[in-house]
Amino acid sequence: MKSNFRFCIGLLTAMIALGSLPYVLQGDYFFFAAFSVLQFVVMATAWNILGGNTGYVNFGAAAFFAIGAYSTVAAFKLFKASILVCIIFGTANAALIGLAMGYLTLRLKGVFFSIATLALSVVLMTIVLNTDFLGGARGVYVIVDRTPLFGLPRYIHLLYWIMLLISGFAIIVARTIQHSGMGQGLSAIRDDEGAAECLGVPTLKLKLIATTISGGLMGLAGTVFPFLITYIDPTSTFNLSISVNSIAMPLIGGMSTWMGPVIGALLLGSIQQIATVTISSAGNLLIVGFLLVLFVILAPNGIMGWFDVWRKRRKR
Amino acid sequence: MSEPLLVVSSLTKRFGGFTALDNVSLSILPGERVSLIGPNGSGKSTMVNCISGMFRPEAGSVSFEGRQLNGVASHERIRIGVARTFQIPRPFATMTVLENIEIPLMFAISERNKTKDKKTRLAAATEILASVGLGRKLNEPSSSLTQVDMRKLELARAIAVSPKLLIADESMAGLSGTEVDEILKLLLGLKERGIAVLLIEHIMRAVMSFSDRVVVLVAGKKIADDVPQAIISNPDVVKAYLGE
Repeated sequence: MKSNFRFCIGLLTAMIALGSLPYVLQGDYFFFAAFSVLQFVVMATAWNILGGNTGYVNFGAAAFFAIGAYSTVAAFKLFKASILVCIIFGTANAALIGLAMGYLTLRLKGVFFSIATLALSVVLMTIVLNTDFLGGARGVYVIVDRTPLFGLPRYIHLLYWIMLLISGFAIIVARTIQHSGMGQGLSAIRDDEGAAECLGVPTLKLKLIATTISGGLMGLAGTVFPFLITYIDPTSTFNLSISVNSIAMPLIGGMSTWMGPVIGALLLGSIQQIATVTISSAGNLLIVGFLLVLFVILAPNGIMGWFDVWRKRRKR
Repeated sequence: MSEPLLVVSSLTKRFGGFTALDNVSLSILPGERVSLIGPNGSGKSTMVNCISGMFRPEAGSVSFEGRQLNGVASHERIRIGVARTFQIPRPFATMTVLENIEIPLMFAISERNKTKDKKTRLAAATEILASVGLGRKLNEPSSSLTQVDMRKLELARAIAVSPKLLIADESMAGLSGTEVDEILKLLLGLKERGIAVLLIEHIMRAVMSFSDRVVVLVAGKKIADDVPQAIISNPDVVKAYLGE
């Protein structure tokens, strides 16, 4: 397959180019910002598996992110687990909760599903707020030995590398799904679930797989967060801005392909990081909101949709 | 006489206090062409939904080739040979015509005959579309089709996997005379492929020329089940349609 080959080369080149940055650039802040942007690449890509491919809008993205983050906290507090173990543990937890959420809510359609995911978020946050082991409302520290590995200059470079690998993994998963039979089945569900079911698509099974993968990947994005910040609390992990961004990025990039969320996340994530430094950190969501309105009016199918129209016109 | 393909026995479906189907039984032989007629609201579509597994009946049973279908999901039913179309065409709007046909070819064929290879699948899809007269619209978005083409697509999707029974829910409603003939020709052609058809229809001309047998539902009850000629002279049927 030619397109597979091209994709592999492209991804590999991007990974190597971005991965070599720690040896070129100085300073922590750039990597902190890049980590945040990559984190959103994973979140947006994961959200799009359920939201874009299947048409089920999940408002609880932050909850899955938080599950990943708090799983790390739990694993770390209990066993002093290594970062790799934390990552696997958090992903598995989020995937399981994704599956459970799927079982409970996927019989709901449209808006009702979305409200249920929002409720899930509130429920989980309340549980965390009232669990002393996880720090409750006060938050919790994760202090690790911050000696860098693999001859990297600093510890944050290692975290940046890990996030880079996670992003690559999420992108591969999303692309594989999109090009597989499952992806076509999910699109059929998005277009008309009843018709899909009557034409042999095992809708419930596919939706459960989609919630599990989507939830797992969102959790995966959250697992490394505590290592970066060293302190997490419910307000920073169950933050509305995480949920809103996870939806806004695919919307702005385009929801019909795996590339849309990636472009949306890179664009919106970078703009927010730049705005935080240059304008104010509170202006973040304002920018997201403004761009959302702009895109909904001017390019409802996102940047990729725009690009498609432009390409078709040129063909003629 | 051969064993019946589909047996519906004493089916009852209620929506709250309203009984949409009241103790209805019917059977269809392999390759038989049966029409289900009745005034609006008589329970025809409810019947279709119960047979295809979209609704769960309160009482009674549906069996296909001797197998009980109670509790069998819709996507399983098409795999064992019960296909349906929808009254209002429901194409997968973001997909092309060809991709629409790919869905049942990928999912509705039982595991052993699955065409894993994309090439053979596309060839099969192209052939089916050509047979219903959509051969020149393969790569058009399905949402841009005309009403009659959408009906054809709807039929093509259902027969793509060579079911043993096709339930055609008002495939001709709202079409013009020549368009009705086109669809009718398609449905008549299914006989050669050994596909039994349960036709839900209002257009009597089509019903009369198509059916081996006609079943009449009125207010959820079956009032007649006979050959077409006997049906039009049946006083109960005439009363139901024209009043006294």
